[in-house]
Amino acid sequence: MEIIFDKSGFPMVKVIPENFWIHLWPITKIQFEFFLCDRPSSTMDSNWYDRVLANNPRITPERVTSKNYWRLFVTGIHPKDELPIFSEWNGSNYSIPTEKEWMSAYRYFSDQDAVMNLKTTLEKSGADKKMDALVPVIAQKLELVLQNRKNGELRFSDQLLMRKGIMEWVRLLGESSEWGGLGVPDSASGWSTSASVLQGRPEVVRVLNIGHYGSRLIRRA
Amino acid sequence: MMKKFCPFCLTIHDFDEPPICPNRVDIDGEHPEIPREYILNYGINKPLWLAAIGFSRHGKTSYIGAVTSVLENSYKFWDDITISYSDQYTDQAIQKIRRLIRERKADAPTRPAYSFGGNDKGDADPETNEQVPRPLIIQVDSIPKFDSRSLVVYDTAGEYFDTLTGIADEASQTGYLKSLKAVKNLWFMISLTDLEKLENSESQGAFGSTVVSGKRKSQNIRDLLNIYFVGMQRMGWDIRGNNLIVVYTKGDKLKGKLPESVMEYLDSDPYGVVAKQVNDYYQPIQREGFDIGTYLKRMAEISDALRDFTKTNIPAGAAFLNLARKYELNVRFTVTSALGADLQGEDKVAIADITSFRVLDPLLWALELDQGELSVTTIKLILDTNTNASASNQVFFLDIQRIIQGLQKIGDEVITYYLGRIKPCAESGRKLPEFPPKQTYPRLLKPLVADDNENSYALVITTAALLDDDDFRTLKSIWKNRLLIVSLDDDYEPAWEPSINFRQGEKVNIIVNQFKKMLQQASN
Repeated sequence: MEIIFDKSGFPMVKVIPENFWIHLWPITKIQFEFFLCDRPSSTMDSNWYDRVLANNPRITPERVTSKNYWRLFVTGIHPKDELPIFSEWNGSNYSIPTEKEWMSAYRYFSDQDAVMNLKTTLEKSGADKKMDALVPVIAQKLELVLQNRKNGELRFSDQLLMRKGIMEWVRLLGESSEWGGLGVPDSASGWSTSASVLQGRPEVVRVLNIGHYGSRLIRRA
Repeated sequence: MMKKFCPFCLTIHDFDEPPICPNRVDIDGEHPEIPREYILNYGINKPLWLAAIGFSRHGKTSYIGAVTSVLENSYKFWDDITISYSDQYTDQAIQKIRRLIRERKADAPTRPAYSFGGNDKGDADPETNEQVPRPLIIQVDSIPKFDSRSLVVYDTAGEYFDTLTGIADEASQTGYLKSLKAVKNLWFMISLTDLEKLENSESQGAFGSTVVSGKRKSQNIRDLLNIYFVGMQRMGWDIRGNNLIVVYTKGDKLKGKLPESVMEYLDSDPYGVVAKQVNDYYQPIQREGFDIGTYLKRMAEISDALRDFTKTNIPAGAAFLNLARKYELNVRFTVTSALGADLQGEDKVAIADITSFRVLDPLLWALELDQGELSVTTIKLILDTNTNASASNQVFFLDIQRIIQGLQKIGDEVITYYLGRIKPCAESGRKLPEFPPKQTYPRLLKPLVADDNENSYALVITTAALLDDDDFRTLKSIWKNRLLIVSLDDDYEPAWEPSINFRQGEKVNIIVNQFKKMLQQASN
């Protein structure tokens, strides 16, 4: 598994057949906060972020459980407003995935077994790089969350929370200015949207509630 | 870009044009100008930071007069060497020392001083008016084996070491001894004959001690180190790894008391003799070349001999060595004679009559042991920009400048930030913005301190709960005793320890003192 780290020290994994990297997890509040502090803006100020947190309160990694882990991730951000700035801040070769790119990554990682001891793997990869100090804690806590899944069902795509994660923005095929959502939110979050999603299959949906939408970025090699 | 320490305030700040120190005011009410030679040569002539400490009248000043004199004449035995005094103050100070020697007043207490805390108009703030030593700054180029260095020498006042609480009392109230915190190369100047006289003198207080103004007078070599250590600890400064060069001064008076090999060594100083030689005009200069490697080797042998002598023959000498080992100090020993003989009589002394012996040794040890750059202690002062808080809770009603001044006595650089913004609002030594920012930033701390190393500390002043303070529970092992949170809101008691609640109307010294207390715990 090839791992790199983004500007805020969070891991990305490589989708080898497509030659791009994708965030291991949806963008966390920790990453987004680094961006807010580094690139202050009059629109994304203290009051704005308070509203974002009111919709989906912050949680420190140490307190994550199976009943609240989605609170790690930033939601309520828009692909036309905040997300492009966050993407550009990471680098010019970063972008929000298209639905095709997201599904390619999903299928690729679904063919792979879950990584045992992901925390240790990340620590080794991040030893000489600027890995955020809380990344291993997140990995450890999410591992505990996923332990409740049935044996044999767990794939690497589950560790990426592409199922039982949050709804993620994707650019729709053939509609360059239109956005949809992909992902399978945990039912406990109350954010599930369509029947097929409820059955565990990621499927593009039209946006119903922006407050439930987050994102992950891809980085072209 | 290499961070440059200001030699006057020992903090890192911008050197504007003209390059002045904004934190010091001399006796004329002007901010002192940092020597341009010092600034330009900073990366080439690496500064060698030195402090001469010791009891009153034990020869610190005479030593400085002697070593500079030998250096001025060192061209006679070291090819290519050049020496220059970087500013008028240094030149005048050295000339003054030599005048005192000629007038047989070299034992007069030294207190080169100027006030601290000058404002833009150059006025010293009477409430913070503190006497601080101004260093001598000397450029020495092409020293054999050691290349070129910029010597920054602090001659501290002896009376701070004369009583067991002297340095701690003064250091807690003034920035005078901040030089001791930053400087890792210390000349411990001790006159054994003067200590012997003190021991034999009368006016004994309780328990056989000698008392001065109600305070127990320091009596021996261990006391000197103890005073230094207590003072450093009280300020929360770590002295481990410092180079402690013990200089037994007035060596000419120690005949028959030191081991014979040491006295022979003292009397046979090749550098001192050659430096003294006066050359007539038009006569060839008699130059001698000495192998520096051989000299240093012999110097090390003498240091070992003096160490053994100290352990077995000097009162509290063994205790001194134990204390030095406990605090992981690199100790070396030297013996010098700055004046060559006891200057008796009332007539003025001719400089030509003075021969110094082995006065280069303490300098050579400092060069040999010096680790190089001062390790930079950075303090991040992080302020909550929220002006929506009730007026009494707003950070900007506090005397932030006074807090910064207090922190500058502790850290090498104090950089000010707004909570929730990575870019500083004021670099070290720069003025704060006059008004708070128009927009408010999220109360986030972690991104501001994510990259910090163990020499960084943070003081956060906030009007309400931090959004990410819970993250620091996990980061406790990294930030223990390096982060202090001050809450202006009685309803917010940070989960982080240490933290304090501060109320308007209280003195901001409380905040600085609490920060100092945290550093003391870190250094224990």
